[in-house]
Amino acid sequence: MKYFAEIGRENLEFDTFFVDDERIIQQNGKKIDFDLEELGTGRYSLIKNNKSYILHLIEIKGELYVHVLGQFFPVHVDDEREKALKELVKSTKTGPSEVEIKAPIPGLVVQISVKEGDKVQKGDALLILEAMKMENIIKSPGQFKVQKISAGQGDAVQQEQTLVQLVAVEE
Amino acid sequence: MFKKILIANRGEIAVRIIRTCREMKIKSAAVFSDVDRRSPFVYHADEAYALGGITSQESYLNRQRIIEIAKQCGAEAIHPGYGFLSENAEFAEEVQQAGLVFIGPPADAIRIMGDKTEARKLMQGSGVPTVPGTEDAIDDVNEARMIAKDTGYPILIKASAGGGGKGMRLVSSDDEFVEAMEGAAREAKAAFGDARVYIEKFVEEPRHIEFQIFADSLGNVFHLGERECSIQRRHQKVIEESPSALLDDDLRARMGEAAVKAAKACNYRNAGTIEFLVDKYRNFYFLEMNTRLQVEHPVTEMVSGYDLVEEQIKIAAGEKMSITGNLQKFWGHAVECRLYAENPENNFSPSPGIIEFLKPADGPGIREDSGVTQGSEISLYYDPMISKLCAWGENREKAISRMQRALLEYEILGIYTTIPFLQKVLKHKEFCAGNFTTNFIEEYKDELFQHNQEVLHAAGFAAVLEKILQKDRIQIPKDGQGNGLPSNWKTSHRKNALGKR
Repeated sequence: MKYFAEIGRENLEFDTFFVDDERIIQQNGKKIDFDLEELGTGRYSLIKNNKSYILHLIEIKGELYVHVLGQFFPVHVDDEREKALKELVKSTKTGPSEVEIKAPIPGLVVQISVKEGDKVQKGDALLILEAMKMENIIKSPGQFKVQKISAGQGDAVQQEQTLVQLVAVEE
Repeated sequence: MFKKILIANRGEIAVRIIRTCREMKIKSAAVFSDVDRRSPFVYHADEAYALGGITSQESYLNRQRIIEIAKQCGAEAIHPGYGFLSENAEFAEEVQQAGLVFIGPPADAIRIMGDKTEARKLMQGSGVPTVPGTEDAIDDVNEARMIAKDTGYPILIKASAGGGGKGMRLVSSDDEFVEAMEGAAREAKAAFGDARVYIEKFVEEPRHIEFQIFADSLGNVFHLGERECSIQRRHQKVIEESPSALLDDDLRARMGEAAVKAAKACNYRNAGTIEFLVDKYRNFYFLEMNTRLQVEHPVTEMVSGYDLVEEQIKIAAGEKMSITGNLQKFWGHAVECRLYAENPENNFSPSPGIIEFLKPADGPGIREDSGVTQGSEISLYYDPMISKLCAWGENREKAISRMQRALLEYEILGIYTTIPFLQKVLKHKEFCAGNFTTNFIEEYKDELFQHNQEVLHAAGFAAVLEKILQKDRIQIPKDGQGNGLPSNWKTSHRKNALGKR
């Protein structure tokens, strides 16, 4: 699973996966050696490649802020699913009449939360896709009607495979 | 000695005064606005009285109400701190008329030093150098040109009704004068309806260096050396130190002598500061006098060993001050950084909010004068300065290193502060070398507002980890390992570390 952090006009990309039961995190193809110790009240001791940091993480009005070495940054983190979804939302901003919801990552459809003909609002769960032991809720990018569901519960789907087709609701 | 002092101020300076009162076994009475009910100075004082109101005008500038409270609570003196009523001659008078003691200078000294033109004339008459130029506004080109010649180029032409740089010209030689003067007059006429201008010597590569003076009622006037305050933004000091890297014994002695003269000229009493500009030729000029305790007084305390607030109180009570002469030798070096609740990256815009976590720096040589605590709310109503952090070292280099270290240790969460900006100034080559003027921040702004890449990456990485951690927490029961283990990667990391042995 890829993660994207937006911080101080920079975009950082991290790749995470498991080898046996160890979670590996890579940046630019290089493994990051790390240990994060939660100290309480939003404080963390981070040892990243043997460099030691004291950090604070705090959520203010839904935004995550990180404080480290006197510096204070708003940070926005998306995993690849959220990022894909966001781009999708962006592309639907203009109000297309039809939207195809595709699998942002390969995974297993563990639950389908809607049925054909349902009307959905922005943010409503369409289905749950499990990947890398994590559940990802695929949400509706706007107000639509469910036209067609092309995947079934328990299906293993490929990346970019169409899962649901949505159409604009006529007023 | 007084038994009780009312403190007509808030924030860190109120705390500062309360501390000395307590050490001198004097009761302190705080007054506070509605916004400040939860501030440390309210609960650190022995007594606290509500002023009501929110804005400064409704609260800390309410002279009548403050004097009334002082009388009712039995305080014998009022300490005004800095800002608010500290340089208000009427207030000083009213306090006296109410039968109380104003811990500060006589009203007349405040009045004359508060009037720029009057102060300048008084200084000239007392042999204190001022920036050369015209005393009165002028509109005759030929006369102005003669004055410019006498003053010596480069000079500044300033609109008499001026402001905002309109009608201002920098002239570097005589042959440019007429054209510049005509241009300035035209601009001034258009902007302010008044074509008259002042001619003033342009101070090249100015440094702002001030002298702390003390005068008691027995006629003693001494100085406690200088403070270097050239690191400024928008004419507000950001970093101060004592002694200045620029002065040698000779210049210090001459400036100190001028400072004492200035204080004597206005029949000064109590603590005061004479501000000077020093140009690149090491000429110094009187700028103004601050007739109160300065924000940056801690650096002088650290290198002189005196408690300046205690000296103020002693003088006000008519006692002899402990200072027995001009400060001859500095004890090491001290640097002060002002921490503001501002976002340096966004043009120092104020950053109101709640301090969610606070762990100030400490350790060898560090002193902090703070007005806030964890949970404090920084409001938009008052000054955004939240704290002053000072570092002492046996020399300048050591003091700066300590300050750098302290700023890295300082943990404050929930608001933006000027800490990252201060870190960059303290690391700057020219600052460390002592080569800077009042234009320092403007001059090096490209270097002073950059992010530290490594820190940025660590912060981004931590945010990602936090997100993964959150997901793992939700995930744990599903994995059938609902044993409350914080996360599988942490344990596996440990396993890994053990395996490497």
